[in-house]
Amino acid sequence: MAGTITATTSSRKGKGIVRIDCVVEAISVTSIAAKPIGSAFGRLVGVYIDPTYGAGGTMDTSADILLTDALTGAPIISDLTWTTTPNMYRPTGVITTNAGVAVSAATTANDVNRDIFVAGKLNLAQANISSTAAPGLTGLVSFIFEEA
Amino acid sequence: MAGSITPLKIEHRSRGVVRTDVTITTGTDGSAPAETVVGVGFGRLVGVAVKGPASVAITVKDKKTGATVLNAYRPTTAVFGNTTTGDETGGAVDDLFTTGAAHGLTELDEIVFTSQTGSTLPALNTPYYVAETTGFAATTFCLAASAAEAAAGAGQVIVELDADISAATWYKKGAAVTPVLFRPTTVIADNAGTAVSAADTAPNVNRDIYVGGKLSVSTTGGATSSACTLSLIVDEEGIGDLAVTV
Repeated sequence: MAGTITATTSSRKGKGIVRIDCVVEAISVTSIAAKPIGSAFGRLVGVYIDPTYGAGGTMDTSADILLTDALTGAPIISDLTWTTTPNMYRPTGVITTNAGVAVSAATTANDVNRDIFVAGKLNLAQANISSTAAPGLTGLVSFIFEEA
Repeated sequence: MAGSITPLKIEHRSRGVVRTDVTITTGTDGSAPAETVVGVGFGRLVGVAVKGPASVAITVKDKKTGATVLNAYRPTTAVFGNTTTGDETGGAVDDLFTTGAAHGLTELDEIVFTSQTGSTLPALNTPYYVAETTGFAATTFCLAASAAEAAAGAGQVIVELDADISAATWYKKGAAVTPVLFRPTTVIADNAGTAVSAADTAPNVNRDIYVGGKLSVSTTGGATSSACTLSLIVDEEGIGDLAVTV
Protein backbone atom coordinates (compact mmCIF):
# COMPACT_ATOMS: atom_id res chain seq x y z
CA MET A 1 0.00 0.00 0.00
CA ALA A 2 1.37 3.40 -0.98
CA GLY A 3 2.15 6.12 1.51
CA THR A 4 -0.03 9.19 1.92
CA ILE A 5 0.24 12.93 2.46
CA THR A 6 -2.73 14.76 4.00
CA ALA A 7 -2.89 18.46 4.86
CA THR A 8 -4.94 20.75 7.09
CA THR A 9 -4.79 24.55 6.90
CA SER A 10 -5.56 26.90 9.76
CA SER A 11 -5.35 30.64 10.03
CA ARG A 12 -6.79 33.40 12.10
CA LYS A 13 -7.49 37.06 11.64
CA GLY A 14 -4.87 38.95 13.57
CA LYS A 15 -5.79 40.44 16.93
CA GLY A 16 -2.97 42.95 17.10
CA ILE A 17 -0.80 42.62 20.20
CA VAL A 18 -1.84 39.64 22.32
CA ARG A 19 -0.68 38.88 25.82
CA ILE A 20 -1.02 35.50 27.52
CA ASP A 21 -0.38 35.52 31.26
CA CYS A 22 0.46 32.20 32.86
CA VAL A 23 0.46 31.86 36.63
CA VAL A 24 2.67 28.96 37.60
CA GLU A 25 2.29 27.20 40.92
CA ALA A 26 4.71 24.45 41.83
CA ILE A 27 2.95 21.71 43.77
CA SER A 28 5.37 18.92 43.06
CA VAL A 29 9.09 19.32 43.51
CA THR A 30 9.80 17.84 40.12
CA SER A 31 7.84 19.19 37.21
CA ILE A 32 4.59 20.44 35.78
CA ALA A 33 3.41 18.60 32.69
CA ALA A 34 2.67 20.57 29.55
CA LYS A 35 -0.59 22.49 29.74
CA PRO A 36 -2.39 24.29 26.90
CA ILE A 37 -2.24 28.05 27.34
CA GLY A 38 -4.08 29.20 24.24
CA SER A 39 -3.10 29.93 20.69
CA ALA A 40 -1.36 32.67 18.76
CA PHE A 41 -0.66 33.47 15.14
CA GLY A 42 2.27 35.84 14.81
CA ARG A 43 5.65 36.73 16.31
CA LEU A 44 6.61 36.05 19.91
CA VAL A 45 8.08 39.43 20.80
CA GLY A 46 8.20 39.40 24.57
CA VAL A 47 8.62 37.11 27.54
CA TYR A 48 7.97 38.73 30.92
CA ILE A 49 8.80 36.81 34.08
CA ASP A 50 7.98 37.58 37.70
CA PRO A 51 9.26 34.89 40.07
CA THR A 52 7.76 36.69 43.08
CA TYR A 53 4.21 36.83 41.76
CA GLY A 54 1.37 35.36 43.74
CA ALA A 55 0.76 34.29 47.31
CA GLY A 56 3.35 31.53 47.29
CA GLY A 57 7.07 31.72 47.79
CA THR A 58 9.49 32.98 45.12
CA MET A 59 9.74 30.52 42.25
CA ASP A 60 12.75 28.21 42.32
CA THR A 61 15.52 29.59 40.11
CA SER A 62 16.45 26.11 38.86
CA ALA A 63 13.02 25.58 37.31
CA ASP A 64 12.81 25.51 33.50
CA ILE A 65 10.15 27.30 31.45
CA LEU A 66 9.27 25.23 28.39
CA LEU A 67 6.97 26.70 25.74
CA THR A 68 6.19 24.31 22.88
CA ASP A 69 4.05 24.10 19.77
CA ALA A 70 1.16 21.90 20.89
CA LEU A 71 0.79 19.86 17.71
CA THR A 72 4.40 18.93 17.08
CA GLY A 73 5.99 19.46 20.51
CA ALA A 74 8.66 21.60 18.87
CA PRO A 75 10.35 23.80 21.47
CA ILE A 76 9.81 27.55 21.19
CA ILE A 77 11.21 28.75 24.52
CA SER A 78 13.51 26.66 26.69
CA ASP A 79 14.34 29.05 29.50
CA LEU A 80 16.42 27.20 32.03
CA THR A 81 16.36 29.86 34.74
CA TRP A 82 13.74 31.75 36.67
CA THR A 83 15.64 34.74 37.96
CA THR A 84 15.13 36.04 41.50
CA THR A 85 13.67 39.35 40.32
CA PRO A 86 11.28 40.26 37.49
CA ASN A 87 12.80 40.42 34.04
CA MET A 88 11.84 40.50 30.38
CA TYR A 89 13.40 39.63 27.06
CA ARG A 90 12.65 39.32 23.39
CA PRO A 91 13.34 35.73 22.34
CA THR A 92 14.76 34.88 18.94
CA GLY A 93 15.84 31.85 16.99
CA VAL A 94 18.76 31.26 14.66
CA ILE A 95 17.76 31.14 11.02
CA THR A 96 18.54 28.11 8.86
CA THR A 97 19.22 27.38 5.22
CA ASN A 98 16.42 25.95 3.11
CA ALA A 99 17.69 22.51 4.09
CA GLY A 100 17.17 23.25 7.77
CA VAL A 101 20.85 23.74 8.66
CA ALA A 102 21.48 26.56 11.11
CA VAL A 103 23.32 29.56 9.67
CA SER A 104 26.44 30.29 11.71
CA ALA A 105 26.90 33.86 12.78
CA ALA A 106 29.88 35.54 11.12
CA THR A 107 31.00 38.93 10.01
CA THR A 108 29.37 38.01 6.72
CA ALA A 109 26.26 36.65 8.38
CA ASN A 110 25.31 38.80 11.29
CA ASP A 111 21.74 39.17 12.47
CA VAL A 112 21.15 35.43 12.23
CA ASN A 113 18.83 35.72 15.22
CA ARG A 114 15.31 36.49 14.09
CA ASP A 115 11.91 36.66 15.74
CA ILE A 116 10.12 33.37 16.33
CA PHE A 117 6.78 32.90 14.58
CA VAL A 118 4.08 30.74 16.08
CA ALA A 119 0.81 29.62 14.56
CA GLY A 120 -1.59 27.52 16.57
CA LYS A 121 -2.01 26.12 20.03
CA LEU A 122 0.75 26.45 22.58
CA ASN A 123 1.71 24.39 25.63
CA LEU A 124 3.65 25.46 28.71
CA ALA A 125 5.54 23.12 31.00
CA GLN A 126 7.92 23.49 33.88
CA ALA A 127 10.71 21.13 34.79
CA ASN A 128 13.69 20.70 37.11
CA ILE A 129 12.20 22.28 40.18
CA SER A 130 14.73 21.74 42.95
CA SER A 131 13.95 18.84 45.22
CA THR A 132 14.77 21.02 48.20
CA ALA A 133 12.21 23.67 47.27
CA ALA A 134 8.94 23.61 49.19
CA PRO A 135 5.66 23.14 47.30
CA GLY A 136 3.48 26.21 46.87
CA LEU A 137 5.99 28.34 44.94
CA THR A 138 4.31 30.73 42.52
CA GLY A 139 5.43 32.88 39.65
CA LEU A 140 4.11 34.58 36.54
CA VAL A 141 5.32 34.21 32.99
CA SER A 142 3.70 36.31 30.30
CA PHE A 143 4.05 35.95 26.55
CA ILE A 144 3.47 38.79 24.14
CA PHE A 145 2.67 38.11 20.52
CA GLU A 146 2.40 40.50 17.63
CA GLU A 147 -0.37 39.26 15.38
CA ALA A 148 -1.38 40.99 12.20
CA MET B 1 4.70 32.94 -36.78
CA ALA B 2 6.11 34.93 -33.87
CA GLY B 3 6.37 33.51 -30.36
CA SER B 4 4.11 34.72 -27.59
CA ILE B 5 4.16 35.55 -23.94
CA THR B 6 0.97 34.96 -22.01
CA PRO B 7 0.71 36.42 -18.51
CA LEU B 8 -1.54 35.16 -15.71
CA LYS B 9 -1.98 37.34 -12.69
CA ILE B 10 -2.89 35.78 -9.35
CA GLU B 11 -3.93 37.92 -6.42
CA HIS B 12 -4.65 36.67 -2.94
CA ARG B 13 -6.30 38.37 0.00
CA SER B 14 -4.18 38.05 3.10
CA ARG B 15 -5.30 35.59 5.74
CA GLY B 16 -2.90 36.75 8.41
CA VAL B 17 -0.49 34.08 9.65
CA VAL B 18 -1.41 30.75 8.12
CA ARG B 19 -0.44 27.30 9.30
CA THR B 20 -0.59 24.18 7.17
CA ASP B 21 -0.21 20.88 8.99
CA VAL B 22 0.83 17.93 6.85
CA THR B 23 0.78 14.29 7.92
CA ILE B 24 3.20 12.15 5.94
CA THR B 25 3.02 8.38 6.03
CA THR B 26 5.30 6.02 4.17
CA GLY B 27 3.93 2.91 2.50
CA THR B 28 3.90 -0.58 3.95
CA ASP B 29 7.00 -1.24 1.85
CA GLY B 30 8.68 2.01 2.88
CA SER B 31 7.87 3.68 -0.42
CA ALA B 32 7.43 7.43 -0.51
CA PRO B 33 3.95 8.90 -1.05
CA ALA B 34 3.39 10.74 -4.31
CA GLU B 35 4.07 14.48 -4.47
CA THR B 36 0.95 16.15 -3.08
CA VAL B 37 -0.36 19.71 -3.11
CA VAL B 38 -0.88 20.67 0.55
CA GLY B 39 -2.34 24.14 0.21
CA VAL B 40 -1.44 27.65 -0.80
CA GLY B 41 0.69 30.33 0.77
CA PHE B 42 1.17 33.96 -0.23
CA GLY B 43 3.84 35.51 1.94
CA ARG B 44 6.97 34.63 3.86
CA LEU B 45 7.63 31.10 5.01
CA VAL B 46 8.59 31.99 8.57
CA GLY B 47 8.35 28.68 10.33
CA VAL B 48 8.74 24.98 9.72
CA ALA B 49 7.94 22.52 12.51
CA VAL B 50 8.65 18.81 12.23
CA LYS B 51 7.68 15.98 14.55
CA GLY B 52 8.06 12.26 14.22
CA PRO B 53 10.51 9.56 13.24
CA ALA B 54 13.22 10.52 10.78
CA SER B 55 11.61 8.31 8.20
CA VAL B 56 11.90 10.62 5.24
CA ALA B 57 13.59 13.64 3.75
CA ILE B 58 10.96 16.30 3.08
CA THR B 59 10.95 18.64 0.10
CA VAL B 60 8.52 21.51 -0.36
CA LYS B 61 8.11 23.01 -3.81
CA ASP B 62 6.24 25.72 -5.64
CA LYS B 63 3.77 23.51 -7.45
CA LYS B 64 3.53 25.64 -10.55
CA THR B 65 7.25 25.69 -11.38
CA GLY B 66 8.62 22.82 -9.32
CA ALA B 67 11.17 25.17 -7.74
CA THR B 68 12.40 23.98 -4.37
CA VAL B 69 11.39 25.92 -1.28
CA LEU B 70 12.47 23.49 1.45
CA ASN B 71 15.26 21.23 0.27
CA ALA B 72 15.17 17.58 1.39
CA TYR B 73 14.94 18.34 5.09
CA ARG B 74 15.47 15.31 7.32
CA PRO B 75 15.62 15.53 11.12
CA THR B 76 19.07 14.29 12.02
CA THR B 77 18.74 13.56 15.68
CA ALA B 78 17.63 9.96 15.20
CA VAL B 79 20.57 8.99 12.97
CA PHE B 80 23.03 6.64 14.67
CA GLY B 81 25.64 8.92 16.15
CA ASN B 82 28.83 6.94 15.63
CA THR B 83 30.79 5.49 12.71
CA THR B 84 29.59 2.59 10.61
CA THR B 85 31.63 0.67 8.06
CA GLY B 86 30.91 -2.38 5.94
CA ASP B 87 33.30 -5.26 5.22
CA GLU B 88 32.55 -7.17 2.04
CA THR B 89 34.91 -10.06 2.78
CA GLY B 90 37.88 -10.89 4.94
CA GLY B 91 36.40 -11.08 8.39
CA ALA B 92 34.84 -13.94 10.27
CA VAL B 93 31.57 -13.09 8.53
CA ASP B 94 31.13 -11.62 5.05
CA ASP B 95 29.02 -8.49 4.41
CA LEU B 96 29.45 -7.43 8.01
CA PHE B 97 28.71 -3.94 9.32
CA THR B 98 30.77 -2.65 12.23
CA THR B 99 29.91 0.36 14.37
CA GLY B 100 32.25 2.53 16.40
CA ALA B 101 30.06 2.15 19.49
CA ALA B 102 27.27 -0.18 20.55
CA HIS B 103 24.58 0.15 17.89
CA GLY B 104 21.71 -0.61 20.27
CA LEU B 105 19.89 -2.69 17.67
CA THR B 106 17.95 -5.85 18.25
CA GLU B 107 17.87 -8.72 15.78
CA LEU B 108 15.17 -8.24 13.13
CA ASP B 109 15.05 -4.47 13.74
CA GLU B 110 14.24 -2.39 10.67
CA ILE B 111 16.83 0.19 9.69
CA VAL B 112 17.21 2.65 6.82
CA PHE B 113 20.47 4.01 5.40
CA THR B 114 20.59 7.73 4.58
CA SER B 115 24.10 7.65 3.15
CA GLN B 116 26.84 5.17 2.44
CA THR B 117 30.10 5.22 0.52
CA GLY B 118 31.50 2.25 -1.34
CA SER B 119 28.95 -0.37 -2.25
CA THR B 120 25.89 -0.58 -4.48
CA LEU B 121 23.93 -2.10 -1.62
CA PRO B 122 22.36 -1.31 0.74
CA ALA B 123 20.26 1.18 -1.19
CA LEU B 124 19.46 4.48 0.46
CA ASN B 125 16.04 5.31 1.90
CA THR B 126 15.05 1.65 1.74
CA PRO B 127 14.09 -0.54 4.69
CA TYR B 128 16.45 -3.38 5.65
CA TYR B 129 16.38 -5.76 8.58
CA VAL B 130 19.06 -6.79 11.04
CA ALA B 131 19.83 -10.43 10.41
CA GLU B 132 19.17 -12.84 13.19
CA THR B 133 22.27 -14.49 14.67
CA THR B 134 24.55 -14.11 11.60
CA GLY B 135 27.15 -11.46 12.43
CA PHE B 136 25.04 -10.03 15.24
CA ALA B 137 26.90 -8.58 18.25
CA ALA B 138 26.96 -5.32 20.16
CA THR B 139 28.91 -3.53 17.43
CA THR B 140 28.30 -5.72 14.38
CA PHE B 141 25.39 -6.84 12.26
CA CYS B 142 24.43 -8.11 8.83
CA LEU B 143 21.40 -7.11 6.81
CA ALA B 144 18.54 -8.76 4.98
CA ALA B 145 16.09 -7.22 2.54
CA SER B 146 13.01 -8.42 4.37
CA ALA B 147 12.01 -9.57 7.83
CA ALA B 148 11.52 -13.09 6.48
CA GLU B 149 14.99 -13.17 4.96
CA ALA B 150 16.47 -11.83 8.20
CA ALA B 151 15.20 -14.76 10.26
CA ALA B 152 17.80 -17.39 11.13
CA GLY B 153 17.51 -20.66 9.29
CA ALA B 154 17.49 -22.07 5.80
CA GLY B 155 15.51 -19.10 4.46
CA GLN B 156 17.98 -16.45 5.63
CA VAL B 157 19.38 -14.32 2.81
CA ILE B 158 22.09 -11.80 3.72
CA VAL B 159 22.45 -8.60 1.66
CA GLU B 160 25.72 -8.91 -0.25
CA LEU B 161 28.01 -5.91 -0.51
CA ASP B 162 29.96 -5.54 -3.75
CA ALA B 163 32.69 -3.47 -2.07
CA ASP B 164 33.73 -2.32 1.36
CA ILE B 165 31.79 0.59 2.82
CA SER B 166 34.02 3.28 4.29
CA ALA B 167 31.27 5.27 5.98
CA ALA B 168 27.52 5.06 6.38
CA THR B 169 24.71 6.73 8.26
CA TRP B 170 21.47 5.02 9.20
CA TYR B 171 18.59 5.15 11.62
CA LYS B 172 16.37 2.58 13.25
CA LYS B 173 12.68 2.65 12.42
CA GLY B 174 10.78 4.52 15.10
CA ALA B 175 13.87 6.10 16.65
CA ALA B 176 12.82 9.08 18.72
CA VAL B 177 13.33 12.47 17.11
CA THR B 178 13.27 15.76 19.00
CA PRO B 179 10.63 18.00 17.42
CA VAL B 180 12.05 21.13 15.85
CA LEU B 181 10.83 24.55 14.81
CA PHE B 182 13.02 26.60 12.50
CA ARG B 183 12.87 29.59 10.18
CA PRO B 184 14.23 28.70 6.74
CA THR B 185 15.98 31.28 4.58
CA THR B 186 17.55 31.48 1.17
CA VAL B 187 20.59 33.29 -0.19
CA ILE B 188 19.69 36.35 -2.23
CA ALA B 189 20.70 36.70 -5.87
CA ASP B 190 21.60 39.56 -8.16
CA ASN B 191 19.31 40.55 -11.00
CA ALA B 192 20.86 37.90 -13.22
CA GLY B 193 19.94 35.18 -10.74
CA THR B 194 23.48 34.64 -9.45
CA ALA B 195 23.73 34.04 -5.71
CA VAL B 196 25.34 36.87 -3.77
CA SER B 197 28.33 35.67 -1.82
CA ALA B 198 28.49 36.72 1.80
CA ALA B 199 31.26 39.23 2.45
CA ASP B 200 32.09 42.12 4.70
CA THR B 201 30.43 44.28 2.09
CA ALA B 202 27.46 41.96 1.74
CA PRO B 203 26.41 40.55 5.11
CA ASN B 204 22.93 39.22 5.75
CA VAL B 205 22.56 37.47 2.42
CA ASN B 206 20.15 35.00 4.02
CA ARG B 207 16.59 36.28 3.67
CA ASP B 208 13.15 34.89 4.33
CA ILE B 209 11.65 32.76 1.57
CA TYR B 210 8.56 34.16 -0.11
CA VAL B 211 5.96 31.82 -1.53
CA GLY B 212 3.05 32.75 -3.77
CA GLY B 213 0.76 29.94 -4.80
CA LYS B 214 0.23 26.26 -4.33
CA LEU B 215 2.80 24.33 -2.36
CA SER B 216 3.55 20.65 -2.76
CA VAL B 217 5.28 18.18 -0.48
CA SER B 218 7.30 15.20 -1.60
CA THR B 219 9.55 12.83 0.33
CA THR B 220 12.12 10.13 -0.09
CA GLY B 221 11.28 6.61 0.89
CA GLY B 222 12.05 5.44 4.39
CA ALA B 223 11.06 2.98 7.04
CA THR B 224 7.83 1.06 6.53
CA SER B 225 4.56 2.62 7.63
CA SER B 226 6.20 5.52 9.42
CA ALA B 227 4.51 8.84 9.98
CA CYS B 228 5.68 12.33 10.69
CA THR B 229 4.05 15.76 10.95
CA LEU B 230 5.24 18.77 9.00
CA SER B 231 3.83 22.20 9.75
CA LEU B 232 4.40 25.20 7.49
CA ILE B 233 3.83 28.73 8.85
CA VAL B 234 3.38 31.50 6.31
CA ASP B 235 3.11 35.16 7.27
CA GLU B 236 0.67 36.54 4.72
CA GLU B 237 0.19 39.78 6.58
CA GLY B 238 3.78 40.93 6.33
CA ILE B 239 4.24 41.51 10.05
CA GLY B 240 7.95 41.88 9.42
CA ASP B 241 11.06 42.20 11.54
CA LEU B 242 11.46 45.90 12.14
CA ALA B 243 15.06 45.64 13.27
CA VAL B 244 16.21 43.88 10.13
CA THR B 245 15.15 44.97 6.68
CA VAL B 246 14.40 41.67 5.06
